[in-house]
Amino acid sequence: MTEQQDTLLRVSGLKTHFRTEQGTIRAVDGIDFEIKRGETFGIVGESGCGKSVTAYSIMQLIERPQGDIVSGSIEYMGEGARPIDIAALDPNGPDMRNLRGNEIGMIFQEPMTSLNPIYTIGNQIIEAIVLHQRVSKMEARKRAIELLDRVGLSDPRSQIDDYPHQLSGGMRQRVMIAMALSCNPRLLIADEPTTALDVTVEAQILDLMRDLQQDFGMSIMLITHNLGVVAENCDRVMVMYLGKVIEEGSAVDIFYNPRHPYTHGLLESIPQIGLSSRLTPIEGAVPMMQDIPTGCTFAPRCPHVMAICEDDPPMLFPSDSERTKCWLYSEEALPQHAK
Amino acid sequence: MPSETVLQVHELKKYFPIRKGILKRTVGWIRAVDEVSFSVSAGQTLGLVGESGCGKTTTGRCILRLYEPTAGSILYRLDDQLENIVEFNHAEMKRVRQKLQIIFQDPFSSLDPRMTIHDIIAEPLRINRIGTRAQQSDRVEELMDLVGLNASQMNRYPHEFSGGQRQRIGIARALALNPEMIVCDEPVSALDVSVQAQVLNLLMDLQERLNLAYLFIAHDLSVVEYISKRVVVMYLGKIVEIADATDLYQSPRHPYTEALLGAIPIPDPLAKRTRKPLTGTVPSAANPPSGCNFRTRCAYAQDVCAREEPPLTQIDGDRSVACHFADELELTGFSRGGTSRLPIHSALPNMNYGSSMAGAPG
Repeated sequence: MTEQQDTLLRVSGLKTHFRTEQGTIRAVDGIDFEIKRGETFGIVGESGCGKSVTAYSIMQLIERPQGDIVSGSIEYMGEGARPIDIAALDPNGPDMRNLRGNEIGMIFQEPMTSLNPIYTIGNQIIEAIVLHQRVSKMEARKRAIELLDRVGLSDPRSQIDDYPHQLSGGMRQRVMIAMALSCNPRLLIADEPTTALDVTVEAQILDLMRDLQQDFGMSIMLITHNLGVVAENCDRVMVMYLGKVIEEGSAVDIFYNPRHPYTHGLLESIPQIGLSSRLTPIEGAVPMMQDIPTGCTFAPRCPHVMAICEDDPPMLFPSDSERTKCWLYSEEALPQHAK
Repeated sequence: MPSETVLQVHELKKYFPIRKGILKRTVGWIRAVDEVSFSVSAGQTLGLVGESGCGKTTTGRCILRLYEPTAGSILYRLDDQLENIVEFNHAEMKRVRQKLQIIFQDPFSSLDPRMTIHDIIAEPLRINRIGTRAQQSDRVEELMDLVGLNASQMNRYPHEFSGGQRQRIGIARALALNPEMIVCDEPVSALDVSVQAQVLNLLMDLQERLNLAYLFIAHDLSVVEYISKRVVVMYLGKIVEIADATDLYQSPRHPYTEALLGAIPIPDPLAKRTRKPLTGTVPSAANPPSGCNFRTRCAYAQDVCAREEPPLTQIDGDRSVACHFADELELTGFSRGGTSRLPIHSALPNMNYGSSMAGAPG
């Protein structure tokens, strides 16, 4: 961790919507958060909660014209004195291209589909380096070999000329990490980086990411549905449900003192080794994006639902260290509506 | 307890040929499953864990003869007698599959999108000509009720259901013929955590009510521990350890089991873990290492491991391990590093309201 705990990225009021034949899908619907320098910030949630769309919005990789950032800002505090609002940049313009890869790197869930099968891994890393830095191809190749060595390939000098299919899943993810780090980004976005990997390889990749963070001092935005991975790697955690942030706090707060009934339900749903007690899952399932309830979106599944929850969407109620979007924490709502 | 055994697998082998060239000559074999033996007792769950490519799914499919085994025997209990179903013909297999069913990982591809839920669940009844159409519909209703689906939705199509509901449909279909055993091939890995817990609880309730035996195949060790009485650990087509779940997780006797347990991420930010990371990846099953399969990644490997293959040997009663040094090694089990359970302080948000935030211990 760096000493300087100031903000690297500030997302405010971000809304990313998609137009479909069934109507508008509010994949990300007004979220706010900050990522500090050098920290690992976790985003958790079940499928369809908008965690990946958040990442794609930051990278301006939203598929247009169906999808678009409709409002909000994504302020990136890089080298210069003035923050850059990513949401206002042209996705294909030079400023965005300069940020993408150079300042913000990204790794994806499925390393096979995110590497180009017809180029060697060396070609793909060298391309990234030459594109962003003024170096010769020879120089870039040298740097690529160094990077591959750093991410733990056993024989980088010969493996640099391998094609992606010649590598195992874990090795491909290492190559993706090398590529993402090739230009020393300040922020690394990892979207379910270990979901497709076996548990022993997952442990290797997460260890590697922690080591690299120490060396490079970058911030990591770690998106995952695995609560174990979150607990072991993140400093702060944000829980999302249906496009909204429902709770945010330090990892210790989220796991030891969850305030939102959804966070609570998630923690009660995971089997824990050595505890034979029966799981208490959350009732029902995540509603389809087309029929999101008015009021609190979690109300239909919530065991503590009150009358107000079905009518009005809750605001974020901050406490000392965490924020929770739930009427149970409202001074006015509770006395009137508590059962 | 031979009378209680529903399934006994003996030295099961499944080799897949590697074909090359225009003539598609066989140039080698992938030893997906290599001399695997285990048994499943009535009304119990046997967990089968291992990393991808260890042969756990192939084992499950061989048991139903969805793959033809290369060698070995599969004894299944029919009318209180264990019969070797490997030699059965098509008609006899139909009889076996009334008693032995399977549910699959992907609830999206295992249901025919053009059939209604009613037709999907009634299909086993129709194939086996059980009951009239009206009786079949009654049975569908009963089954949907049993797995927690709304029976009024029986005329809908699979795409109208969520992943968890589709997995329930798959379970209802498997239960249609009153089986005694179900092979569950990664039944919850495609589901979200909250839904995964619902399906696990459903499977456990059904087991209790119907005295079902499960072969529960999964890669998630926490899920396997939750549902299984006994656990088999596989590596590269072979069994490395079989033991009761509690023993296996608390005191593993095979280095691979230890490594697997050490890699599980613990959902507790204050847990201090002592991880010995396993290096490398699983070698190819077409060209496995000499001697012990695991020696290339084993922290305790010695010369003998490269020369001799350790047999799966019974140690302390109910436990079998395939390691030359099973008696000598001091291995660490799963430990959450101090905390005995995830201590959620705010049991109910209402009760927590207004009180000061309790600091986390540690």
